[in-house]
Amino acid sequence: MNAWSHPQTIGDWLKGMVALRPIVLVLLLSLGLIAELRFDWAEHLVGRYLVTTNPFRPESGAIWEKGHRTEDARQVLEKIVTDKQAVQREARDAQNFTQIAQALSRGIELIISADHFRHLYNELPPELAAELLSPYTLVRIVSKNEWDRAFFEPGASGFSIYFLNKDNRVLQQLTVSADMLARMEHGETPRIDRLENLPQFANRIYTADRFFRALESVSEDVRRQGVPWPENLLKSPGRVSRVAISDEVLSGYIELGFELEEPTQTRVILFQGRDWAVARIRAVLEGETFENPITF
Amino acid sequence: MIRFLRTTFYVGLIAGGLAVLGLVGLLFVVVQDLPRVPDPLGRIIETPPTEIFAVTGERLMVIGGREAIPIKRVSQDFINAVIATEDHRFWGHHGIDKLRTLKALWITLFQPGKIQGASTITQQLAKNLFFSFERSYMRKFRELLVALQIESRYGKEDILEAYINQIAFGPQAHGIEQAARSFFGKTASEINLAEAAMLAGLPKSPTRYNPYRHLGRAKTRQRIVLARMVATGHITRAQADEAFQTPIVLAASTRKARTGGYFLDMVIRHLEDRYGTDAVHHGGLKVATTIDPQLQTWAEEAMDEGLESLAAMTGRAPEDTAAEAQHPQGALVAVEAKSGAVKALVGGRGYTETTYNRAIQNNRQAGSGFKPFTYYTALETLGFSPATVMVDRPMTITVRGAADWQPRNFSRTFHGPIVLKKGLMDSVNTIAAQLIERTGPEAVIATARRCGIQSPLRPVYSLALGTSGVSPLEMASAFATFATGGIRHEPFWILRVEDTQGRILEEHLVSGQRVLEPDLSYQIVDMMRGVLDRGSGAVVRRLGFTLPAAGKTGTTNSFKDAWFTGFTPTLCTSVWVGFDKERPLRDKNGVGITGGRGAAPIWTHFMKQAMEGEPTREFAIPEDIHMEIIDPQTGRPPDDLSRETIEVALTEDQTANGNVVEGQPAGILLNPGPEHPASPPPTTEGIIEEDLPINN
Repeated sequence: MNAWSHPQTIGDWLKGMVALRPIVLVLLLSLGLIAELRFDWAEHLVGRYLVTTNPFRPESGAIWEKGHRTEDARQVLEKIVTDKQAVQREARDAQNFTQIAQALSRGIELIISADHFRHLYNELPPELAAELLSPYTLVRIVSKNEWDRAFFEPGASGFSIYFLNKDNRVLQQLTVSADMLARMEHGETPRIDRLENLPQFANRIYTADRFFRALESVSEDVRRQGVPWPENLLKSPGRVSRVAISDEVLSGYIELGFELEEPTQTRVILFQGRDWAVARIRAVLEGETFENPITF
Repeated sequence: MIRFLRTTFYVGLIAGGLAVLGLVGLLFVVVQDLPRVPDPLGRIIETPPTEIFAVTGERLMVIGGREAIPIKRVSQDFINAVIATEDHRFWGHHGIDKLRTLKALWITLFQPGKIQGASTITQQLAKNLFFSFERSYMRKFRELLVALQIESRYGKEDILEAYINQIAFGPQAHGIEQAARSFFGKTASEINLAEAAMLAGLPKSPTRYNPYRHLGRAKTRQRIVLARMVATGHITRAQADEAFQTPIVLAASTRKARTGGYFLDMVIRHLEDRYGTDAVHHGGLKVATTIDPQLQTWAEEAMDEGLESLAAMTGRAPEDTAAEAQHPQGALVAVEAKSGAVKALVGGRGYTETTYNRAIQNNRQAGSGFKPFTYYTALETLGFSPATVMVDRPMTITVRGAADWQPRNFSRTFHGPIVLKKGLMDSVNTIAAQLIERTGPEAVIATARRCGIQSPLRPVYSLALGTSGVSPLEMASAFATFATGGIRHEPFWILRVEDTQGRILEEHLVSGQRVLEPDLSYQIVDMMRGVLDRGSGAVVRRLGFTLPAAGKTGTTNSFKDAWFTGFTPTLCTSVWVGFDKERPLRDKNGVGITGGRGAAPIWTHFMKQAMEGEPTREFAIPEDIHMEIIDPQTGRPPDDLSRETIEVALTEDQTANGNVVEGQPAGILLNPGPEHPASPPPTTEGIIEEDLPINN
């Protein structure tokens, strides 16, 4: 191999400059560069390569995160809806309040139709039903033709029931305590066995004899409006020992309690009479004249 | 020399080769965690939008989601404007504009302090879709690679379509269709050259160039866009000039929706608390709210006019934006009495100026606006009636361990004996102070709580004069309890929430609870009717509001807050005005602005429109109530010596017999001892100056 030596002449210089190998290299590089500037082949090459790797790359970055969040949101909402639907399905098939309570144990509210509630209500023992809601109150609500649905809301113990109209306005609110729920579950008779257990009757409890004498002294119209459906009393076993009148007026009605003595127990049946008629009966009971205004 | 050149040549060649190899190596490394590009590209707009509707069904707001449209339905002017502004060689390059990139690189590297951007539309799309806004060479490189992939996989029109459908023009305007509708009330195909140029200028900085807030800046930016369009040959100079001269008409409905943003903020916060942020922003909820767009518009108009009038009164020019913070602020809440539904809510001067919601977040002293709770407590616990006579005179309440409290009247005069109704009508402070002294502050707090006031209330005597902070929403909701005869409805603003498939997630139940005695509640309503008819709120009648209504003014210490809360049997509205920084509201002459002067006109303006066409409804009078005309000084039926008469509502067991409740001699220890050991003393700041009676 010859040792490299400094070119001695201009000719040697030029020979060195225009040697084939560098010329070819420069040309090739220039060609590549111009072709890239003109045809973007490098971009095409890289782009196509990346297209082939696309399926194997991660779903990362803002748009995918957004997609994942959308999916998470969808799943959260789907769970809420499916849980609600599951509870609703259970409620739809419920045959008694105990089954409703079981559905509510998931902590999710539920809605049943007014007709379904009436069915469940009718399934309760009459005394328990009356403790939950006076049948006369229920009849009054039904007769207004506004009641559309019953909304059940689970509470810390027991649950609340809201009667709703079509505009979601609450017509009546009831509370079922854990104790009442337990009694519903076991089909036990109501705890209300004495009029004294109902605070609304305090100080307005009369003997049956005194009450019915007063009732007999008023007109037939007052009797009918004050104590409607007396046949319900006749149907009940036992005898009426005491009667009480509530001190609350509720939408033009006043509640009356009839304490019945049965061979083994006492129990209370609740009625609702029109306020003006009950007021007249009470006036007779208290020895007042009809002209004096009676206020509750 | 030859040796040097040859060495340089080969070193350069090797270095270049190594650089290329390095880049290729880097490519192979980076590609592994390069984000996957969705296929088709249109998948980027598949997020379902959450929509919020008014009670009328009108859509108020869309959160998230994209309203994507094909590029053929976009104005060609806009496409040209975007390309001219963002990437004028878009149709020619393959994802990277090499000349522009080299130029930008040169400037960035060799001109310290200057940074030149050179991102093509494809690169911007890649950045928006996958990358953060972190500035780093690695991020730029990854962005470049994705751009190259996008260019290889999709056509130019697909790329442009994806770009214009996802780009942000403003908070409520993602994508060109939403932007065109939001700013101009038009579809993307309907916008003209001027509008297209303005929109094309927004993505650079949607906040800075927001035409609603900075029309001047937006016009400047529009001129730049038009100049770029001329430079790139899309339009002529004459067309650009004509477009620049074309007046820009912004969509009015957008302005309203943004101001209604206070209410929408409240709705969104509730939804986020209940369902989480993701569900709200990406879940596609359908939310029905209680707001009535017409009432909302009127509420905003009333507030705008009222605050302008206040600004003028206080000597501040409304257009003086430099002194923006010095302008008075205001809030208004209107609640449907029979349900608690919030029908209109204004949280400040304008949502675009400040998003702080004074309707719910601002707890400001209610002043005499709090007195109805004190009066109700007195009727309930002391057995007083509106005809009970008390003596308005100088008094001192001594409090153990604190300075004596000497409540004063606004007028600095004393009326002598007056009945309670007159005391409330004229907002006599000494009467309210005597009442709370007898009932105890805890009883007044209990009443306020029953009515729905939830803010912390200090158990001090000055509470009677409204020294604890409350919000306008609380006041409107609490006064609505009086309007309904004592039945309390929780205020609410969401009627129903559904998922994307219309399945119900939540429904509001309208439930009322009796918290006040109907007879006593009516007596308070009747006393507050007197406030409007002949008392400190008579300005309401003077301004032409004639329907049966009741209310109470409130003005706090040194005129820092001015209130008016009033109601008809169906609608209860509370208005507050004042400065964010608690400074006195005084007119140019230094006279303090009271609730009757500052807030009541706004209330009246709003309520006149809100109740227009409504039938005249009287407040339901309970059976036990009868009305009697009495002498307000003696509390007895008027006689020859009576100077004026007043009608009071009395229950069946009450008669106007001039029952006088003697005040205690000044200086006696009135503060309870053992039964109120924990009560903090009343503050001297609790001395409240109340509105001048209208005939003073």
